[in-house]
Amino acid sequence: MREVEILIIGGGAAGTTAAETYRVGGGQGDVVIVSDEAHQLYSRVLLPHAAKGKISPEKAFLKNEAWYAEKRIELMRGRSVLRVDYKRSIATLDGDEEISYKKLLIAVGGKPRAWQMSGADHADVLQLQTYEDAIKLRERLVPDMRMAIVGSGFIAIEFAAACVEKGVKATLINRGPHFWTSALGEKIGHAVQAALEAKGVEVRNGAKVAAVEVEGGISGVTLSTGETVPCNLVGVGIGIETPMEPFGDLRGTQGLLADAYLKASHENVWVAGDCAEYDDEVVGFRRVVGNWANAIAQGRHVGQALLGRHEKFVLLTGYSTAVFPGASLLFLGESRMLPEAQRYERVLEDGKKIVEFRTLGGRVIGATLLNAVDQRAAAAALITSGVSVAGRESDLADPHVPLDGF
Amino acid sequence: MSEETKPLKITKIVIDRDLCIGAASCVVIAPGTFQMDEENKAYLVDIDGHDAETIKMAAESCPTKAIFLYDEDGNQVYP
Repeated sequence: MREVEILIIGGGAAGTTAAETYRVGGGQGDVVIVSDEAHQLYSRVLLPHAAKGKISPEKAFLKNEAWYAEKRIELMRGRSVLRVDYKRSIATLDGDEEISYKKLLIAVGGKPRAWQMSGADHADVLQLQTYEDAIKLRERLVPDMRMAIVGSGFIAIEFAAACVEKGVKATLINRGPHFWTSALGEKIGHAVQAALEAKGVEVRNGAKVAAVEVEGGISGVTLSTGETVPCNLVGVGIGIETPMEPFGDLRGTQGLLADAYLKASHENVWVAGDCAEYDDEVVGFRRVVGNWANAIAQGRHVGQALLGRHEKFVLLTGYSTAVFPGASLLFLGESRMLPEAQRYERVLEDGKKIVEFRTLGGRVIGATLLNAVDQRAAAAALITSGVSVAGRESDLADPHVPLDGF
Repeated sequence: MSEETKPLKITKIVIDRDLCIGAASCVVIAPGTFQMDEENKAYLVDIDGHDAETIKMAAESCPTKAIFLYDEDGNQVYP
């Protein structure tokens, strides 16, 4: 059986950064990354640009072969981990190959949630998560095509923007009562929808797909109302989930469990990146954070832990997306609308800018800024300070109350 | 590191504001060199804020490759 010092499951931003940090920091042990993708590290952020034809797909690669060789990091591509025996410190890969490790980092990221729908396995039902997805979308998005987009989140917006760019007519089908119900309040939701509609994207709220109509190619999607939306492509963006199966008792509610140090409950095992459900002391509860800066930061943190540093991971990150020029969204802290949280919407400059705050237990745990990046520092300070807003929550929605006055 | 015996020296950093999307991973890795401005774009604080290796890691972490590094001979080191 092969024995390695450091085994990293997942070759994305978190896993690769951990390996790099360990090596650059003087770590001498052998480092093996197992990735189920066929490629070296690439930027998922650049995939929509590649799909739109704005950059060549190869531009999305962030590391090349020489980099791995120079850093003495072995990348096992196209391999999946079936299970981990934490007691024996052994990971079993496909083909029943076993690798024993001294230290293990699990950084598997997320996978697009499977769409349970008849016809969902058709080749023209597209996702946008991997390099291959971007290439396929790039090939299929040609004028005269029509796309139905299922979902109303980040990926659905990227599909819509790609359609607009390529002159493909798009109809977005959203189950929720308003746009991106899982994350946005009504005010920002309406504004984002308006930005999409201004570019010619048709948006259907409160609509549910009942079937994909397939006659050789796709001819449309039928909604639960019986209406058929004609299309020959379907873009699915209904969220991602953590692959839990191989990781046994680390399974949490949304991800794989870790403490505030990103340490799992087993000896010499860490979790980082989009798959980590960790104790986030910034907001005061355990959660999964899925954005680029967080994956880099957590990878770096674990890389340093592998070198012997013992510190909590305490960092507020966010992510932004430009729906279109003139409609930018910036998420800080907890971006999902938790069932027990409250929402306060602050409308500025006649609705050109909106800042939405989410509170839990009297403190601000998240904020979403529409066209209001100038409010980033103030909103971030409200979250990181942990200041109590109990009894003054409604002031968060009042544009006359300065944010630094809490 | 075959023939690169000379330690890396970065003498110029250019941040393309059009490419920058405010992911802020550069700030995570090299906060002494990069910070975010009011428009949520990265800007250069201090080219000597970190060693060259750390600055290179920060640039390489950028998901849109918006950070350009040049060495003392004026050659582009990254991307």
